[in-house]
Amino acid sequence: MTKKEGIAPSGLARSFDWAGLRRYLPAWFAVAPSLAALLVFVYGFALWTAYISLSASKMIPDFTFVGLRNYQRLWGEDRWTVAATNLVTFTVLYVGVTLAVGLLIAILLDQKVRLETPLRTIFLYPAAVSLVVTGISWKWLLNPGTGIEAFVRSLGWDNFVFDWIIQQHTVIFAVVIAAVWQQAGFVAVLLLAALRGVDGEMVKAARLDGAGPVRTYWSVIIPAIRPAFISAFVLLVAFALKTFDLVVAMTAQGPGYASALPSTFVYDMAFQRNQLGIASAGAVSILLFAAVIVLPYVIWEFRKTDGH
Amino acid sequence: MTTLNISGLKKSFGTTDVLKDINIAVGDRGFLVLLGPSGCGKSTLLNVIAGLEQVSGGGITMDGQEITRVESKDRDIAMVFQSYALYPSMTVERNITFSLEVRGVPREQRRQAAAEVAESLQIAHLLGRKPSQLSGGQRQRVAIGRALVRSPKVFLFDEPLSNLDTQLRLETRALIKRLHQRLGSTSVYVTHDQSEAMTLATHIAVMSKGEVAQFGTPAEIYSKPANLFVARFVGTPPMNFFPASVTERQGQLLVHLENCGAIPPMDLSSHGALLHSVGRKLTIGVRPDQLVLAESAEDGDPVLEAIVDIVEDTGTDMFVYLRSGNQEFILRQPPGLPPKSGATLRVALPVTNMHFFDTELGDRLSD
Amino acid sequence: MATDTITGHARAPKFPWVPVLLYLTLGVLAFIFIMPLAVMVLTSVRPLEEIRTAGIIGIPQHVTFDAWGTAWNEACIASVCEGLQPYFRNSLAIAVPATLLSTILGAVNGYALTKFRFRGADTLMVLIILGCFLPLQAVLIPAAQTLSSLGLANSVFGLILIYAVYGLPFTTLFFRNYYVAVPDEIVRAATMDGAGFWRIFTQIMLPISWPIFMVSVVFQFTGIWNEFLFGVSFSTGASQTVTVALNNLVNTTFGVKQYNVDMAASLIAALPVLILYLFVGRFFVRGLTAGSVKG
Ligand SMILES: Nc1ncnc2c1ncn2[C@@H]1O[C@H](COP(=O)(O)OP(=O)(O)OP(=O)(O)O)[C@@H](O)[C@H]1O
Ligand SMILES: [Mg+2]
Repeated sequence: MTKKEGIAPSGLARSFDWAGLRRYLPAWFAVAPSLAALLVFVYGFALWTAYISLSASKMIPDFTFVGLRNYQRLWGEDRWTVAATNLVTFTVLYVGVTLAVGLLIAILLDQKVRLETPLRTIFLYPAAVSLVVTGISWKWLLNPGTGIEAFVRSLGWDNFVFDWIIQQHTVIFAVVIAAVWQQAGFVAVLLLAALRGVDGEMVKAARLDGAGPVRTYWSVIIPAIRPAFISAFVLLVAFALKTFDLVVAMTAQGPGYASALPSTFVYDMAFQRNQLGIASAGAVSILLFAAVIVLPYVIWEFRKTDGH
Repeated sequence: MTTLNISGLKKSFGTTDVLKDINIAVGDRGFLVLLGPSGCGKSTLLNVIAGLEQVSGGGITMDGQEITRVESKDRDIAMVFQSYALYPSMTVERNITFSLEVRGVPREQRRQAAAEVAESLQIAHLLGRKPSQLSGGQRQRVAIGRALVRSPKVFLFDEPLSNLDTQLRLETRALIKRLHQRLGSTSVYVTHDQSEAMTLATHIAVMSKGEVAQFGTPAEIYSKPANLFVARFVGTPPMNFFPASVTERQGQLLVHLENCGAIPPMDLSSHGALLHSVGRKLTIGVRPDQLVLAESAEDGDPVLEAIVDIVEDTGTDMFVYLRSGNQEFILRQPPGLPPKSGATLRVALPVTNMHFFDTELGDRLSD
Repeated sequence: MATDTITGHARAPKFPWVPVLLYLTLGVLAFIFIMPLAVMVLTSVRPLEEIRTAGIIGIPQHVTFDAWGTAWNEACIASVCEGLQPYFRNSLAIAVPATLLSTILGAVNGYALTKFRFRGADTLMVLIILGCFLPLQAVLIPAAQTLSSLGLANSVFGLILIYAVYGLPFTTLFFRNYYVAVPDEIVRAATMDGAGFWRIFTQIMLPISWPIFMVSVVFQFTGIWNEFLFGVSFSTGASQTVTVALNNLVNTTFGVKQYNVDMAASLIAALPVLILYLFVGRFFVRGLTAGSVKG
C-alpha cells in the first residue's frame, strides 16, 4: 500500500501483476471460506462417494477396491430398477404437468381477473408447505378409506373408485399429484411475472396481423417467455431429483416398494441396511443423471456472461 | 498546476489489445478531450488514468511523478461517470461527501463542504434527497459535485452529457466550461460528440482503434487533419472527399478528379508535397463550407457542374446535397432561397482550402 | 407508428375471453389448491369420534382445539410425550442462524465475484452455482462420516453447518443475479472516492440489497425448516427438527390413529413458513422474478 514505491519500468510490466493482486486480494479472501467449504462439502464429498462406490464398504468404510461390483449388484436389484424407473416416470410427469398447470394458471391470472392477489396467494401457499406435510395431507385425501373416495361414496356414488395410492402400478401417479400441487403455483407466479414482462407492442402487432388469442399466446407470447420457462424447467428437474421426503411421508415407498425412488433406496441402503458401497453406487448414479440434464443448461447460461 | 503525461501506454484484455502505444501530454490548466468512435478505447484509457484498470505497458506521470502503480484512491483524481453512478441508498449530501467521510473528515466540515459545492452547482435545495428523486440533469450535477468536493488535481469525465437532452446538455456543457475556467484543474474528458470536443478542449486526442490518430488543439484538428480518419470524423456535415490522381507532364504536376466527368486537370505545381505522389491514388478533401458557387471562384479553381439532389434547411444553414457524375458532395450555404431539386449549380473547389491525403496510407500530404 | 392506429382497440381487455369460463376454471383450480389446507384445518378442530364416524372430509359439528394442545405439548414421538414443542425450538435454533449465515456469505460471494472480476472469477461462480443442482444423496454418506468425526453428529451445530454450506450455492446465485444488474460504475466511483472492498460492500451494496436479502432469507428459511433428508439422517431423539418429528409422530403411531392431532401437528409444523409467506411472500416473488426473468 505504499504510495511511493519504486515503479517498475514498462519492460517489467508484463511480469507479475502485483498491483492487480493487491486490488483483488480482499475479494479472494472474501470468497475463500465459502469456496473452501463448497470444495470439500460438494466436490470433495461427491468424489468421496464415488470412491466408496468402488470399494467393499458395508457398514463401515472399507477401502478395498472392488471395481464396478457395487454397480453390478445395484442394477441387479429389482428394488433399484423399480426406483430408477419411478424416478424417470416421476420426473417426466412432475415436470411436464407442473409446467402445464403453472402456465395455465399464469395465463388465466394474466386476463386482468378480479381478486388476483388472493388467488395468487391460494396458488402459491403450497410452496411454503414442506413435502412432509404435503405427503401427509395427500396421503389422507387419496386414501380410499378416509379421503376423497370415501367422501364421494358418502354422497351417494357408491361405485366411485379413486385408489391410485394403494395400487402398485398407479401409486407413483398419486405421488405426482401431490408434487404438482406443491409446486405448480410457484411456477405459475414465476411465469406470470414473465408474461407481464412481455412487450405489449409485440402483442398488439400480433393482433394487427390477425392472430387470435390462442395463436397469439402460442406463437408470440409463450416463445417470448422461453427464458423463464427454461429456468422453471431446470428448477423442477432439480427438485424432482431431490424428492425423498414426499415418498417417505406419503407412501413409505409402498405398497411394497412400488413407489421407491433412488433417493429412498440410497437412504435405506446407507442407514438401514448398512450397505455403504451399494448406497454410494446408487448416489453416483443419481449424480450422473443430474449432471446429464443440468450441466448443459449451466454451461449455456454462464457462457453468455463470460465474455465482457 | 498539474501536468499529466502518458507515454507508451498499452492495455490489453487477454489477447485483445485495446490500447496500443498511447502518448499524450496535458499541461497545466489543460482540458484534454478524447474523441473517437464507440469502442476505440476512450473509457479504457480514462479508467487506466484513474487507476481503475492496470496498464499492460508504458506509464503515467502526474507532475513528473510516476503514478502508474499508485492505487486509485491515492492518485488525487476524481471522475464523473456517464451513468452518474450515484450511490442509490445515500442522500445527495452523503453522495457528495462520501470521499471525505472515507478519509475521516469530521462531520461539520463535510457538511460545510457539501454546502459550498451545492451552492456552486445550484443544487443546495436537493441535499436531502435520494438520487431516485432527482431528474437526469440534477443527478449529473450531483455527480459533478461529488468530484468537485475533493478539489482533485485532475478531473476525469466519461461522456458525462450523453444521457441528457439537448437543452440540458448545452447548459451542463457551459457549466463544466465555467468550472474549468474558475478552478483551472487539469481535465480529461471523453466524448464522441465533436461540438462538445471543440467547445471545451484546449487539446483533442482523436482516437481510432486504440491509437491516437491525431493529438492537437481543436483548431489544428479542424484545419489540418493529420489523416483521412480524422478528416472524416471531425466536422458536421463531414468533409467532402474527391478521389484524384497526380501525373507529371513537362514539369507540371497535374491533378485529375476521377469521378467528376470531363473537367480539365488542375495545375498544382506549387504544391511540392504532391511530387512524391505521382502515380499514386490521392484523396482531396474540402469542407462543405469551403466550397463556393462558381461566381465567386478564383481563377484556376476547378469548377464542377452539379445537380441538386436534396436541400436541408436548418434555419442557420442550408446544406445542399449535390451530385456530379459519380461524385456526391455537400455544400453549405447561408440561409436563403433554396435551389430546386434537379437544378444545376456550378460549384468551385478552392485550391487553397483543399486537404490532400494519400488514399492508401491515409496520411496527410503536408504542405 | 403502427401502434398509434390501434389505440382505440387497445382499451378493451387483452382478449375477449368468455369470462364465465375463465372464472369457472380459476374457481375449480383454486378449490383444488385450497382443499388440502381446508381439510387439515377443519379436521384439526373436530373431535376424534366425529372423524371416525363421518370420515376426515367434513364440516365440524363441534369445534375443539384440544388436538392443537395435544400436538403442541403432549403427543408422543417415539417414547417422549412432549408434543412438537421441543423440536419446534430445535428447528428455530437451526434455521435462524443457518439462514443468516448462508445469506450473508452468499451476499459476499455475489458481490466479490461480480464486482471484482479477477481472473477465474467466472469459473469460481460456476463452480459454486453448480452446487444448486447437487442431489443431496450424493453427499449423504461422507457428510455423516464427517459430522460424526467432528463430534457434531446429532447436534444443532452440525445441522447449522450443513444447511449453511448447502444453501450457499443458492444464496450466491440470488445475489449474483441481483448484483450483475448494479452498474459497475458505482463500484468504480466508490473506489475513486477511496472506499475499499468491505466499505463498498457494507455502505453501498448492502443498503440497496434488501429485496434480494428478503428472497434469500425466505428461500433459505423455507428450505431449512422443511428439509427432511439431512434432518432425518443427522438428528435423532432430542435433537430432531420439527419436520422429522412430525413425520415420526404421524407415520409411526401405534394404536388408534388420532387424525385431528396429526393434522394439528402438520399445521403447527407448517405455520412459521406459511406466516412468512403471508407477510413477505409478495417481496419474495417480486425479488425472485426480478433476477430470473430478465434473461
Ligand atoms: N474488461 C474488458 N475485457 C475485454 N475487453 C474489453 C473490456 N473492457 C473494454 N473492452 C473492449 O475494449 C474496447 C474499448 O472499450 P471502451 O469501453 O474503452 O470503448 P469506448 O471508446 O469508451 O466506447 P464507447 O464510446 O462506446 O463508450 C472495446 O472493444 C471493448 O469491447
Ligand atoms: Mg466508453
